[in-house]
Parts: sequence; structure tokens; C-alpha cells
Amino acid sequence: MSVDSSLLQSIIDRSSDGPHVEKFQEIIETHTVEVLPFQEWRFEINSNDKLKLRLLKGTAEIFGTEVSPNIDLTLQGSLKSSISTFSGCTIKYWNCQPSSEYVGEESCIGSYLNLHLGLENLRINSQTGGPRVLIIGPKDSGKTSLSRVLVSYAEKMDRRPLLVNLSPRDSIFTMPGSLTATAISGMLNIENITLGETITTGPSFYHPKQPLVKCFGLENYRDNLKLYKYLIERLSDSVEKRLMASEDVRKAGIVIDTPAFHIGDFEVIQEIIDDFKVDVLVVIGNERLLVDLKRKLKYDSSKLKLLKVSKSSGCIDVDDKYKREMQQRAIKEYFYGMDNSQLSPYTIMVNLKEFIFMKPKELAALNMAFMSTDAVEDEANKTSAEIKYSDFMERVKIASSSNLENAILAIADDSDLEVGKYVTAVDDKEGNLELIKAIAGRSVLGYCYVLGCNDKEGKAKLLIPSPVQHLPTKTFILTQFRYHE
Amino acid sequence: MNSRPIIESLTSLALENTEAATDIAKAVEKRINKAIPSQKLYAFYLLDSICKNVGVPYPSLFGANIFKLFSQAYSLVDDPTRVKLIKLFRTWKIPNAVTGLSLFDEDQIELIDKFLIRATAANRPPEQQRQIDLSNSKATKSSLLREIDDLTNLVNSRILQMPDDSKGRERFQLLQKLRTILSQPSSIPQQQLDFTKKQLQSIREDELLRLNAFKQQQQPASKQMPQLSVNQLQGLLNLPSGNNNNFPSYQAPFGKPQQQPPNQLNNANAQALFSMMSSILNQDQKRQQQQPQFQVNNGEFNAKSSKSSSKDPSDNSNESSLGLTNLEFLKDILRKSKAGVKVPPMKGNAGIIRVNEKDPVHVKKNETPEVILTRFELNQNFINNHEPTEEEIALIYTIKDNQCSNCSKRFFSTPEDAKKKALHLDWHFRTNKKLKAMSKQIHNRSWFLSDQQWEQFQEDEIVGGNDNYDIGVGLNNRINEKPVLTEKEMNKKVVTIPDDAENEVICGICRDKLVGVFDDDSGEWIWRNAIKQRGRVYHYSCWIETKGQGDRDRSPERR
Repeated sequence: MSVDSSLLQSIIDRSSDGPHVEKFQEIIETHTVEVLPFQEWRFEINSNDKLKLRLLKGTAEIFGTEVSPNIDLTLQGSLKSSISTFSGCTIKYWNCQPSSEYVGEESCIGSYLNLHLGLENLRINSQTGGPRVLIIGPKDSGKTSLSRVLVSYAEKMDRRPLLVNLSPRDSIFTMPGSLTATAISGMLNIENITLGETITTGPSFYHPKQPLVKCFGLENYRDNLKLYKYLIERLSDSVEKRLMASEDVRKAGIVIDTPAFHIGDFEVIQEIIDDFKVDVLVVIGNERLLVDLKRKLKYDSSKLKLLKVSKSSGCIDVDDKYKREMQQRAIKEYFYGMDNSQLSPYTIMVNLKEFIFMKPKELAALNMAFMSTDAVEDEANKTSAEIKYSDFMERVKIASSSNLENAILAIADDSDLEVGKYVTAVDDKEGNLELIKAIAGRSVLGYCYVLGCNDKEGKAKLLIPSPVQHLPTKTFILTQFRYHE
Repeated sequence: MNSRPIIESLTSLALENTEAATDIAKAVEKRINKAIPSQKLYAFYLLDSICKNVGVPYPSLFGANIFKLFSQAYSLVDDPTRVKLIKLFRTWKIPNAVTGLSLFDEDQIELIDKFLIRATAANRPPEQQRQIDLSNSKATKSSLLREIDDLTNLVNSRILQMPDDSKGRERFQLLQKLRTILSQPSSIPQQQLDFTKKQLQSIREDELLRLNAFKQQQQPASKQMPQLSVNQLQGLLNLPSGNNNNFPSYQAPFGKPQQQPPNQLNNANAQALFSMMSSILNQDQKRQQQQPQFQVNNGEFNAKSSKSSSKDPSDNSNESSLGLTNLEFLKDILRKSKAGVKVPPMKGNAGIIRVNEKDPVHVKKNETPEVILTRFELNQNFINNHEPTEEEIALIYTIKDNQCSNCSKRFFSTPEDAKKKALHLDWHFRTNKKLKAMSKQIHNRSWFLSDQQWEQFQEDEIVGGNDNYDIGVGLNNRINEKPVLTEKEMNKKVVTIPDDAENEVICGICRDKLVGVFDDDSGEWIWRNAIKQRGRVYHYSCWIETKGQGDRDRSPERR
């Protein structure tokens, strides 16, 4: 157990090198772009590029977060984004040429602002708490963008809304594969693809955020709907308690971002509505979905308002490669931090035999969504009667390089368990069930990455975010995600 | 709909059926709650009529909820209706001649009073009419007239709030006179009109400044009209044709008092304004016949309102105290019009109005966000079709005009926010300093919180002036920390000294002595803070500390 000195060195090297390189490139050329009111400048950056930009005139925002006229923004790596403006603005950019850029004349910011002010009106008039907004929409329709806008606007009006991310593909504040709930008490970080940073021992330019992190461990929610729904339920429990305890958050309400649900998932949507007591459902970019939901969902129309907003013409279909890149960057940032606030992860050698590895099951439910709704309902009824923990996860019987190499592990909170007795009992069915029951729905303390695995010695070298003498827990959740340094 | 016969017949119904009073009261309340905003007033008139004409038991029945009813309705209706609601409310405050009590429960009345004071705390001129002016870009004298009407209304509503404001009254009358002059058929030189514009503009600004201190809801109503929900619009359209007096009632106070519909009950405020206007118009006619008389009239007006001397010089002093010279200017115009100067029709007024429209930092400061927000109903049509106006956009931008120089965070220009900003800048300063020194230090991502910790987490721990890295370090220590045992915990663990053992024994870990003591409770000799494991005795605290590694039972989280 030691600080990986080579890693540290490389970070120090990088941090001192970085600025020099930029200064050379800065001289090359600058461009300016003018954006008229209610329009937006859309741009894409290649993976190796670093775009710098500055607001010269007017006001501008990136997904609801205002761009400061006083500081240069640095946007790095592959990114598809846009800067929109209510007042009109002039932007200067340099350092690299975006792979594509144009001014889009249609922007949704007007209707987003209407939606926000409508929600703000509810916040003012509600005695019980702020609105709980669920955002549903097809793939690449701008769900995350809308949720960013809504929480950012609320934050601008001194609210502290709770941003709930139920899309395990996306990395919001932390690793992909997580379901999170985060109170937004400060500005989001536009430069960070995960919207902002979680708390570190070092300084960060923006106030960090403190998410509650549940590990789903799979990329596609449909791979294990049962675990997914269980996590949502547990997350909503915690959210409810948090709202009770924090008046500021309760008054601001919740914004829930989701994966690309379609109508076949209506029972999951129903569950989210019930669990989080959703009172505003916003369907983005698909009118048909709204109509179908109205028909299928059971809801009290006085308590749940269904709305639609149109998809931004700036929405682009992102391919899996782009998503992968985003995930890889999120993982990297988790351990190493951002360019301007770098972090030093630690490496630790562990004896594989002393630890328990659990893996979320991939249920053969890929076609579940296409099954007749009756069948889905049957399934739902069964699970609601009793929770089948065995469906959530399975024990990894032999942990070795074949299944651990480069894997991202979640450090599960097993503090209520006498783990000692489970460690060796790999095949104890009852014991494993108890394990799953204890860890499945709980928050994770952090993630680690398997740097290497020595099968002969039965040891693994892990990269962990923070120095510890001993890993805080003995149980890992082996996620589907792999990382390559 | 509003009609005296209906209200009267309903009132007599209520009188005849006092045994069903509870239900009737409920029905009326329900009607008030359910009615579309434009109709709420009429239901209130019914309530008022029942309470005043029938009396017991209705006032006490309604009295229980009257504050809620009134405040809710008030927040939903448009501006002219609000004025009428206030008037109605005033009548409730008048004590009954016989009993000496006010109509409703004192507490409720007081609540409404307070509510109204708060609700009327901001005032702003109606934008709507000026918008119309803008769209009819062809400039005429009428645009000036409208501006005057607009201002008159503004001043008038302020006078309603501050009945003691003699200067407001004076200004009101000045505006009336100005209007009279302008509405005379004789034309006025372009320069004069431009000058008038400027004067009006300065009046407006001054007025806005005044209202800043005495804010009010006036402006939302002007906006509310076009933003009615589909339902409401349909409701309005479905009204019987003879009864569509909502629109006139809305426009009347702003634009054309002359077109006031004859329905008396419908629009008391506009009616009042109308009668005032017409009386002045009458005077004006006299004046047209006999111009010199005006000077006298003028003095009279001032004498009445400000109780100051009727001489012109004192008028002037009054004006300068107002920071205005419009009276003098008024006289100037009078002289000119008396002289009968003829002038070509004017152009370019719209441009001036536009400036007026866009100008106002004042306007933005004047509106309370709550007021603007009341217009935002969360419905489909609105979200899709409403185009955010400048002051709505300002809610997330310029309303906080004090922007941090280090990031894009905005603050209000208030003392409280100045303090907040100072703290914020302080935080930037510390953070930037630490960021610079970053490469020399090693920092880590902290561990996430457990469910229970997160549920109890308060965001102020992050943004409340603390530096987050302290929290970060704290979070990590939580994991690294050896569980610290309290003395009580330690002493709870005792080992009874076996008969064959010495009183003193060496701890197997720290090599310190454990000394036996006599325990009164059990009546035996014991070692405190001790544990016996595999035949050896240890300090319990030492045992925990070393066993902490392998002993998962005591995970650090649980402390």
C-alpha cells in the first residue's frame, strides 16, 4: 500500500506542462461568433482538442448555467454542446477549430424558461414542498439538457433542487452505472462533463456537490429491471428522508432525469411516479409517448400534470462511441480530477480471498419491453409481492484476472454485516442472499479500479480514490464498466 | 356574471333559507374558488350582499374563511378587479353603526389588511397599453393621451394606496389637466409634444421610484390578460354576448374611459375614473370658452389638494420639490394654445415611447418576482406559446445585477446580498490561492456518504462559508479513523478477576498494567476496560484498535 509515485509524478508533470502548451497555441487565431437573441451556437469538439472561449458581449448560458464574461472557458475532449442566449451575445473562441459549428436559429430556451417559471410559481405557492418533475423522452431528445436547465435556473433563483439521475449510462457527478441524487446548492461546472465535482480534500473552482450514489453496475437499465426498480425505490426512500430533513431542498423540489424510456417501460415510469410522488411529468420530443402515457398510467389528474416540450433542433444523435468516451472521461475524472484541480488516487494491493465480489445479474429481459403488457404486468405483480433478492446480484465465485482485469468496482457499504462469516462461504446460498439484501440497495462509498490482477498470488492491485490503511469494506460490486488508462 | 337582480334574488334566497346557511355559505365559497378569475369578483359581491343584507349567521360563517378566500382570489384576478376587491374590502372594515363591530371577524380583517399591504407593496405601470402604442407605430396625439391615461391610472392607484399623499393627488390633477389640453381639437407644435413626452417620462420615472418604496401588484394584471389559460379564454368567449364586459373593464382604466360600458356594478373603479374624467372634461369645456379662467382653476385645484396657497409661485415651489416642472410647462402649453399656434401633425412619438419602454432599470427593479410568477401557470399552451418578456428573462439574469467577477454567480443589489457576495468573493480568494498551490499538495476524492449521512446532510456545509476541503478531509478521516471509544464504553467492558489470578495483569498488546478494582454492583474484583481473548487479558480499547483491521463487525462507519 503506497502512493504510486510514477502516477503522481506524471500528474505533476502534466500540471506544470499544461499552461505552457496553451500559451503557444493561443497566439494562433481567434474567431468570434455572434448569436442573436433566442438563438444558440452549436459546436462539436474532437476528442483531442481543447476549445477555449470567452463571452465578449451580452449574456449567454450553456444548458442553463450562465457563462461568465470575466473568465475563459475551457472545453476539452469530444463534446457536443451549445451556447444559448436570451439577450444576444458575442463569443470569442480560440485554441482549436470546432469540428463543426453553426448558429441554430431555433432554440428551446424560451419554453424552458416558461416551464421553469411555472415550476417556480409552484414553489412559491406550495406549502408542502416544491414540484417533483419527471423528465421522460426518447434517446437523444435532450432530457439531461432540460434537467440541467431546470436545476440551473432554480439554483439561480437561490433554490436548492435535488437532481436525480436514473440513467445508468450517464455519468452525473460520478461514475457511469450509478443512480444518484444530488442537491444542487451551487452552480454546475460547465467545463466538467459530469456537471460538477463531488467533494475532495482539495479546493475546487466551483462548490462541489454531495451526491447519494447507488450502484446499478450495468449500463442498460433493461438488463436487470428488478434491481433497477429496487434501487429506484431505495433511492426514493432516502430522497424522501432528505427532503424531510432539509427544508431548503424540500422547497425547491426534485428534477428526475431518466434513460430513454419508451412506452413499454410504462410500469417503470409508474413506479418512479409513485415512489418519488412526481407531480409534473414532462415528455420531451415525442408527442406520441405523451398520449400513450396518458392512456396507460394510473394517475390522479389533479395531482399529476402531464406536459410536453419539443425537442431542441440542436439535439443530435450521439453514437455509442461518444457515450463510451464520456464514460471513460467520467471514470478518469473520478480518480484524477480535472485539469485545474488534479487528484491523486492511491494504489493498494489486496488479497482477493479476503473480499467478496458481487455482480449484478444480467437478466434475459432484453425483450421484456416488447412483450405484451400483460406479461409485463404479471412479472411486476410477482416482484411486488416479495422481493427476490436472488435476481439482483450473484456472487462471483472465483475472482481472477479474467473477470476483474480493468474492471470498475463499487465499494459497497457492508457496515451492518459481520462480513467475516460470508467471505469464505462462497457457495452458501442463504448467506449470499443475506449479503445481497444488505448491500444491494445501499449507497456505495466509492469506486475503485482494478489496475492489475495476479492470479498466482491471488492478489489484485486496486486504484482507490483516497488513501486508507484498510479498505473500508470487504464487499465489492463488480460493474460492467471497464476502464483503460 | 354580474347583475344586481341576480345578486338580489340570491340574497333573498339566502335570507329565506337561513336554516341551510352552512350549505349556502359553502356553495358561495365554492363558487368563489371555482369561478374563473374574471368572475370571482361577482361572487364576492354576492357574498358581500348576503352578509350585509341578511346578517346573522352569514358573516360568521364566511368570516372563518374570508382571509383565505380573499387572498386567493386576489392573487388570481387582474388589476382592475384587484382595485375593486380592495374597495369591497374597505367597506368591510367600516364598523356596523349599531354594533360597532366590523362585518367579519377582526382577526380575519386584520389578516387581509396585512395581506393587502404586502400584496400592494410593488407597483408598476401597465406595459400592455404601451405595447399597443408600440404596435400602432403611427404616432398621433392619442398616443400621448394614452400615456397620460396610463400615468393617471398609475398615480390614481397609488393614491388609492396612500390616500394621504397630497402630492400624488396634485400630480393626478395635473395629469388630468394636461389630458384636457391635449384632447382639445387645436393642434400643438411638435416640439411641445416632444417636450410633453419627456415630461411624462420623467413623471413616470419619478412615479416608479416612489412606487419602489411602496410596491404593488398592479402590473401583473396587465400581463395576465393575454396569458389566460385556454380554459379561461374559453370561459370568457362563452360568456353571453351582453355580458362580455371583462375586456372593456380591463381596458377602460388604461385607455379609453369614454368607452366605459354603462354597467355600474361591473367596474366601479373605471366608473370612478370615468366620472372624474368627465367632470374635468366639463370644466375643460368651460375653459375652452374662457381660457383665462384656467389660471384660477388651476390654483383652486392645488389649494384643494395640497392645501397650499393658490398662488402660482407656491405651485412652482411644490413642483421643484417634486423634481418636476410640468406645471410650468402646462401653463406654457396653455399660453401657446391660447395663442392658437397651428402646427403640422406630429410623427416619431412611437420612438420616444419605445425608449421609454426599454429604458427602465427602474421597471425591472420595481417588480417583485412573485408578482411576475403569478402569471405563470403550468399549462401546455403557455409553455409552448408564451414568449418570455424582458422582465421575465431578467428574473434569471439582470434582477441580480451584481455579478461576481470570478464566476457567473449573480447577487441582488441589496445589503444582505452584498454580504453574501463578500463571503463568496472571500471563498474565491481562498480557493484560488489553494488552487495555485495545488501541485505541491496531494488531494483526493473523498468517500461518498452513507444513506443515513446523506439524508441528514445540509448543503450549508458546502456553501455556508466553510471550505469544502475541510469536509472532504473529514469524510476521509471517517473511513480511516480508528473508532474512538468513550470512557464509558471502555469501562463497560469488564473482566472478573479469576480467583487464582493476581490483582495486576499486563495487557497483551500495550504492555501496560491492568489494575483490578472492586465493583460494588457485582461485589467482585474486576478489571475495567478489559477483554479476555484466548486465555489472555487485554485492554478492551487496545483490542478494538488492533482488531479494527480484521474485525468487520466494527466498521469505521459505525464509529
